[in-house]
Amino acid sequence: MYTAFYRASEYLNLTVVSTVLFVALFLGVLVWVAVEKPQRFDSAARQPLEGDAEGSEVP
Amino acid sequence: MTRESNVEQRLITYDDGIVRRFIIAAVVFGVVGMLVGVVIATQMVWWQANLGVPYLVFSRLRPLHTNAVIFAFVGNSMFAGVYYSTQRLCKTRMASDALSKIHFWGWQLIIVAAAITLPLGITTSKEYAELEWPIDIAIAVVWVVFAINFFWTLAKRNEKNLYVSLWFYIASIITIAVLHIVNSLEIPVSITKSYSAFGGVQDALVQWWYGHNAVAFFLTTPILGIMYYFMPKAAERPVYSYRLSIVHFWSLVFMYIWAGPHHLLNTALPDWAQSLGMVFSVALWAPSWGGLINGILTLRGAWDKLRTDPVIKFMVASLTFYGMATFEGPLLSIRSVNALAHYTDWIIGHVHSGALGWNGFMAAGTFYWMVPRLFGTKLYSKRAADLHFWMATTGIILYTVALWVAGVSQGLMLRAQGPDGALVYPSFIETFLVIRPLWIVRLVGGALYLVGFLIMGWNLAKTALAGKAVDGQVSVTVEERQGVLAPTRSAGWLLTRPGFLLVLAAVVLSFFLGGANLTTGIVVLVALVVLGGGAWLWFKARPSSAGQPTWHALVEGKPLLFTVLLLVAVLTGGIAQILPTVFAPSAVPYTGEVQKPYSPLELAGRDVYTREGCYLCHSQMIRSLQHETQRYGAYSRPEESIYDHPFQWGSKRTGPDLARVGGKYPNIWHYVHLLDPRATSPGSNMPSFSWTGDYTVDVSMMPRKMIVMQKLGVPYSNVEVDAARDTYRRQADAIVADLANEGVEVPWDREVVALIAYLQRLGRGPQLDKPAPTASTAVPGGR
Repeated sequence: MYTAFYRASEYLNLTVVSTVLFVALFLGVLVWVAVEKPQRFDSAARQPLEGDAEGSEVP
Repeated sequence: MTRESNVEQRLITYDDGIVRRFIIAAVVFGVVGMLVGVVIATQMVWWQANLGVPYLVFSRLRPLHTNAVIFAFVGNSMFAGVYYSTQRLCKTRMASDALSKIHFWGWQLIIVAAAITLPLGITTSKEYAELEWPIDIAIAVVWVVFAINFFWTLAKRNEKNLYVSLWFYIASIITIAVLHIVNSLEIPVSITKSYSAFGGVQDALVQWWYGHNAVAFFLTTPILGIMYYFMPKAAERPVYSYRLSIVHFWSLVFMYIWAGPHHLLNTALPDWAQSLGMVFSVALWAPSWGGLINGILTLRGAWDKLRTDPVIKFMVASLTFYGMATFEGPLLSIRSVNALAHYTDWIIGHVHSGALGWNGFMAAGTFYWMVPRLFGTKLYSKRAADLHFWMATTGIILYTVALWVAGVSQGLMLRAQGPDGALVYPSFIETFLVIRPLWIVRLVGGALYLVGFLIMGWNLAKTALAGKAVDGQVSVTVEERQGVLAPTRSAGWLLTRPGFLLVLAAVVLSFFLGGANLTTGIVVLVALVVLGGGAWLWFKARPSSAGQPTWHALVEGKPLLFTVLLLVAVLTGGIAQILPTVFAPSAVPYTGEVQKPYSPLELAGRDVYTREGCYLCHSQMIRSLQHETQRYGAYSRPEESIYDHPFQWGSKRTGPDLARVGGKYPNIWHYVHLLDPRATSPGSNMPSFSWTGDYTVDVSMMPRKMIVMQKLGVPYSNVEVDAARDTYRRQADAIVADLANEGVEVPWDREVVALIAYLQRLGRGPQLDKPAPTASTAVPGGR
């Protein structure tokens, strides 16, 4: 049934190529994050706490 | 280019007025949306609660409830959080106060338009995208205004890097724009009516690609961005792991977009798309819980605040519900679990644990944080906030547990087979009567949540009235640029011979690797560019040391590059899943009369069917499961609905499937059932649609509707279009005559006649010249 439905479609290979691309990029980011030094992210992580004097508890 | 610069200190005043306006709108529309939810929950148990008014009937109010809660309540609360945190993370005022105001008032007008049109039955019938084409255009325009204002603000920021919250906002803005535009492609018939550009299985796939990712990129990613900002603020410590947030973000935006087909498991959607949707849905569990862990562990060393700070209390509970919902979601996406749960109340319970727990509690937490600060005062009552918390928590638990039990019970009953293989509960009504008490528990739970929400509204109003509006300020050091001195780099390398040869080589290599196929070649080229760019960033960011920016920090500093990468990530899944199906050849296998277009009368009946929202309680999709084929007939095939613009597969069965209801009952049965459901199906909670016996069809519109269908690929001939009114009358007269034989007099142009013709058509060919089934063919207790 589906063979007939997709007969002559030239877009099916997109699924395979895109999936491989996705997995490669994702694994790349994952490996990089795992090996990177955590100290390199400290300043970025503190961004919400900078610049204003809003307290923590509901005033 | 390098520039001379002077350094100066500047005091920035944030536009907090826009935040206050969005909070007020969120609370007001939250009450409206939840109240409508309680009303329709009441109607599920006592159908009489619609008071016999067409505008108050369940199937017209249900889209109003979902749209109000998603786009009015969560939308406005999300915008409040985005405007508040973006200004502070960029250390700048929003780029344009005018655009902020256009965004606010435009969004509220859209909500009002939805509140008027949906009860009137003006709907596309595509779930969470029911609004008709003029409102769709308005949504696109207002969204673009929001995007321009947001990206303009990023461009004039006084902070080098983009914090993780801003990544989530970018993802939401870009992806929602793509989803909304694609899923809203339709051809207008009139100012209040259009037909979807997609049909049948294509429409189903596009709709649930949109539907699932509306949950992902409207109800999840912006709220995660808000969580990443407000949780560290409330806990007074940075997010637990910034590295985890990077993995969380990219894996979430990559995976979410693939998961849509889990809404169509075991249906006529091709198997490969179902499997892909299932695998990515299960994989989504990991990044979702990565975000949950990151949020919860941000509280490390500050757990004592959980007892005293309502903000922390709501946020931690919100994350807990997020964790439960994102565990349950992948579970429900497993094909065998889905076979049990789909079309049942389990899905409704799952959705509400996300909406009420995750979205509702995060909104409450941020409101309790922002309102005292936006009005320069203290929260009016912490005890009232605590009361709100416990009422809402109890409400959610009652709601979700009741619907979980109801869903599992009904699912098991519908598939139960006796020793002889026959269905134990052949009547759908039997299952409904068993779960009805659980719907009462759901009603109580929902009402409790609403009361808690009203207490929050009162508490916030008292807080605001006790103070006065104040706008936040920050002092920043800014560089004032003064003219261009000397160029240091440019994109001119592309025009040099080596640069040109490099680009040419990349293009040739792409098409070689892509097997000389244009589409594959383009995908490979994009892959090469992305991977090459990544490698360049990687090496540029070396050596790795605490003082050096990482390659990701370099990307964060360039919003345009970041947005392009994000777009690639998001479009990858969408293109891979949707293009093969949408561009499948139109010459699908011919299997008989089911593929003939609807007659004019049947088409008119179909429009009444979508207007009344019948698809909200009745599916038209018999899944390839044994108990389904036993109950409803042969499983649905993709080619059967190719002329359905839009598709009507449905997502919930409060009543039985209708895919093969045609010919099952005589015309008089349908007539009586539509006007008084309990006369044919004792115990049913279906509302009476008696007005369809009074309303007339505008038959003069039928040629125009058929011309629009022609444009969409439905093979009506010009002769058929020209004869539409005569054909309509002939078929209607036959039904009217048949009803007259049973003692019922109905004029030929009444909507009920068209609706009967449509229902008799379902699952078989056009009924133009065929006799209606006789009373002896009726199946007792089918509903």
